[in-house]
Amino acid sequence: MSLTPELESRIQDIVDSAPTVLFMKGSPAAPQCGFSAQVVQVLNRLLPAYETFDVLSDGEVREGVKEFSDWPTIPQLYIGGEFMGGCNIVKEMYDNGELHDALGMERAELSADQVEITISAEAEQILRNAQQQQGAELHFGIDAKFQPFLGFGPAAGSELRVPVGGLFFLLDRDSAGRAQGASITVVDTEHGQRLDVDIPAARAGG
Amino acid sequence: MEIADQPTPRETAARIREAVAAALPDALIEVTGEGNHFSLRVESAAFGGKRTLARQRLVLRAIAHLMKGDAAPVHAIDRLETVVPAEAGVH
Repeated sequence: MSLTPELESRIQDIVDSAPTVLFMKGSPAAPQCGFSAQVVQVLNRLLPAYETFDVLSDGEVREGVKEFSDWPTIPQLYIGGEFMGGCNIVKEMYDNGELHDALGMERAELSADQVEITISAEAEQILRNAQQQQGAELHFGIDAKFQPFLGFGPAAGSELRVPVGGLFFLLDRDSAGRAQGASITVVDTEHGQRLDVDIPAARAGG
Repeated sequence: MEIADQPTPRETAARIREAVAAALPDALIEVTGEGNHFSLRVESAAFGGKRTLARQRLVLRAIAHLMKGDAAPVHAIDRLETVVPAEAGVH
């Protein structure tokens, strides 16, 4: 399929529709491809809102944007109308601070011992058991909308390794700033127990 | 109806190597991968003075024909390391 002038101008309109535009498979809430999911994860740490275009909903744009950007794969990230790259490059730019620069953001320069997170004995036990079962590093973060997330997986290498109770949490640098003073407890709900994360920075409005 | 044989990962890796070598004749090329996902490490003087995006473009352009369409032998490049010979062996 060739890039017609009409399609080119349609794609240009999408690129120009917001300061940050991500061409991806699926939506941020339900990415349909691991690479798109990884870029969403990075952007969520930095931006409370950004524009996405689901290429699975539009076969013309799906093929056309590859030619438009001269880039063979999806996802593709545009900031300020400029093509940044795909998944590999976005993750690399996040780690070396270039993505913050492109977004005009300051990078939080914290060290692990500056981040204080408290955890109740009960919550610590639950996470310890889960971590033993998973046999992997524990990732904790608070995204730009102040939504906490918790997961298990290998370390990327750029995270802060923060002691929390007797455990270690891996935090990306942007989460670390928002996690300052956070406390993790177990609360009882009608559906059973769940972990609750109190985030002082969320109450302070950022 | 005849169904075309899917290339083995080994054959696809060889095609990737050939395609990159054609575009960057001086390059040292390592290709690893399974299924239709591959990782590349390419060392070439052609990357000198270029940013990551421009470096990766040189490589991806060379293999774009292997990534085109739903039945493409290469679905994704999981990792793509682009190194200038002077940078190699520094770490």
